Amino acid sequence: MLFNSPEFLIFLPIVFGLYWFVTQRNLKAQNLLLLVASYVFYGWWDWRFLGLIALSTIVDFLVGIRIEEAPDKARKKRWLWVSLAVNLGILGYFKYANFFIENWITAWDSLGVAMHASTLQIILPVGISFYTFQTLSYSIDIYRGNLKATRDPVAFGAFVSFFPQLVAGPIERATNLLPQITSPRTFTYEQGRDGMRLILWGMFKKVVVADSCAPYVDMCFDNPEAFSGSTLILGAILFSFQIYGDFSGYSDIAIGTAKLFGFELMTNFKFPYFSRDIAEFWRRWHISLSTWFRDYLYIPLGGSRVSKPKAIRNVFIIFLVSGFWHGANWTFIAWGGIHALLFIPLFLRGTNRKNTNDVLAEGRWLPSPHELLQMGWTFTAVTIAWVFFRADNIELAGHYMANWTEIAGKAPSSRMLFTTLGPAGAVAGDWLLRENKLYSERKWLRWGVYIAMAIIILFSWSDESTQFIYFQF
Amino acid sequence: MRRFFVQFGQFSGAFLALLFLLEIPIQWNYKTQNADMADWQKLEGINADIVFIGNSRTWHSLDADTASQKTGHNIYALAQDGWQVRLLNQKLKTYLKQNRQPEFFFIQADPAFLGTRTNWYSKSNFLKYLFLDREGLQDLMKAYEGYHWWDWSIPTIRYAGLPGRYIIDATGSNMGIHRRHGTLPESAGVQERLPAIPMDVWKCSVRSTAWIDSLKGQCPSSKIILWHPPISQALSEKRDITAITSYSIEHNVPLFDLGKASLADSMFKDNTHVNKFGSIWTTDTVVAFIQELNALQQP
Repeated sequence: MLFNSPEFLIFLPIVFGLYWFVTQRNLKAQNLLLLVASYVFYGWWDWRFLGLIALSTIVDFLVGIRIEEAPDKARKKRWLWVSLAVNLGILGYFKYANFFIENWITAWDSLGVAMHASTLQIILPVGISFYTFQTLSYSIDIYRGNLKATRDPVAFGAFVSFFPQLVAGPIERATNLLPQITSPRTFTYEQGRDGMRLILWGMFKKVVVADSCAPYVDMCFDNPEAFSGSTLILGAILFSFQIYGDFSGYSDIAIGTAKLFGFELMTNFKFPYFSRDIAEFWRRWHISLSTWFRDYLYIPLGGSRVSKPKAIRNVFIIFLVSGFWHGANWTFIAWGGIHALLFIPLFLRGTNRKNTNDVLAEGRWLPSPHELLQMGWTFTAVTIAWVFFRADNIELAGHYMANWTEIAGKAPSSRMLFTTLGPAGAVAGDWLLRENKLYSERKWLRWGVYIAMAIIILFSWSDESTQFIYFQF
Repeated sequence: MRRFFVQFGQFSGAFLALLFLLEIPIQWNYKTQNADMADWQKLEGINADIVFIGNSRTWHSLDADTASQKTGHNIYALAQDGWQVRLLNQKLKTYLKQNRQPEFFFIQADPAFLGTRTNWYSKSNFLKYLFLDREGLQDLMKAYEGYHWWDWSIPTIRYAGLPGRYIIDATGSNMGIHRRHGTLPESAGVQERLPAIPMDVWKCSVRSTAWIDSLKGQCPSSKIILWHPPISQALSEKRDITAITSYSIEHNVPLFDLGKASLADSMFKDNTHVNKFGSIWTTDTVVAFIQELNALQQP
């Protein structure tokens, strides 16, 4: 089920009503409702893959208890390996099997050995990378002694499949979400209001920004030869906003919806295009994934507290794995590699933690010219990396950028230029939101903003609901 | 919770009120617009001698105003972009409620006439009629894919994704309809050739001719003529009008076939629609055909 579909507009009030008015006094019933609603939400797409979520849930539920009860470290580790094998096995089969088969064949072909193997007809289950990472973090946290294993299968099932963030995150940690599921929730006006605001802003970013950019991005990437360099550059910029609007829009709707049910999910985006360097960008973009890799991969590898060569290796590993997490394609690995190359100079100079303040240009209406330059450079670098992320293959990405100097070809149409109004609105909104200034204290002004956003969403809404990009990951 | 619901209710009420406000200019124009340019339902007092009915191919092909001047007959083009037979039936019914039957009734009969398709075709053209079920279109439109109950019951919501269309309808901009002679070919931007309609998806054949009977049945006292507007050479080679020619022979209805005329590509704006040069040629040919008929009394 898509957040921007009529089905969800019916689904949400029904679940909300049952949750707060029918099952409110009984925590177990409330959690059971969440579990059933989450399975309905996911099964709306394809009920056959509910089995995978159930399998992942059952395995980690049992493994969690076993790890906790195991008398020694070795047995705990053995049980952890069971969780890793099952979760990464499911992920590897559904997401990466064809990639490895194809590259295996190509590698042998390049050595002059003809291989005859056929790829598998595998459908990639929506959100598989998100919920497998969520369940993995549960088992790892118990192994590390950071979390007690739950004995409540319904609560654990609701944690794994919690519908607002099931298919595209944020990737929640059990240490944050599970205690909220096992404790009674109360509805507060402030939480409900903030939830509705986030849903509205998320819808704006999805419908007005991402969906309006999408046709022009597809047009440019499908046939780069037909367009001039200026059109292709604009196409790449629009993709930067498309993926931001799409993914952060989804996260906002997810966090907002969770708030309506009394849950606080982790922040996933903190205005990433206001970053002044790449290191800051990664503290602001897809935070739930980057911190996951930090906590469960980078630090166990030694992080930065090892020799310089090893530390550089660790940086590369985390960026390349992060790229590979997004999809079984060399383009994603290249995308991760580019970010690693951009990050390493900051890391070597020790300036990667220079810009750590959350609010840029605090107390000022505009950034300084120096900050603006830094933001412009970071955005340019990120946009170039996005070309690899969006292109179907490495050759196309190279070809796309090689055409940036072309004068011949179609210049940007007035409609394409008009589309930039959506991203401009998102930038303006984010700039105000960074200091919570989008929603004025004055009610008429605040409501004016709400209603204006709702009207713009209505007039931008496409009849054909478009999927969120991150569903494919 | 109570405060949340009160606030949410107030917001929803304010939003809905705004949607009603946005609806007012549309409904206002719908009721009052009756100048030279008229809307679909403003068809009274036309009483044309000759009526052409068809879709956008009739609209783009025939300049009924020029044809009227040249022949001396009152010719009306009852055409609408993207409208299909069941909708044109309704339009003809409305026309006949307010006017006498024409002496000659030209029915567009070609494979490009979208007889039985049920997918929503050019929905934006009749959005203004949907709210409050103007012109009794609701039952008719239920048959089409893309029908939503909220198009009829929630104000303005049907303009979702179509801000340009909303502005046209709210400001009462005309849709190229001439008060006395109906639809007229577009005058601007017609020289630019549009991207071709893909040949492989174009089914250029007709199996059923029941829709001809349905239109013909409404004008029992009119002399019926089937007419085929010009078509590009690429499509002309693919067209199959066996069913139409058979109908013409079996029912003794003349077929005025301009589809076989081999017009240059420069006279088309795409594969199915002529540009202004093609329209001039078509109108002159229609005028000559009407003069040849020589069956009407000179006014």
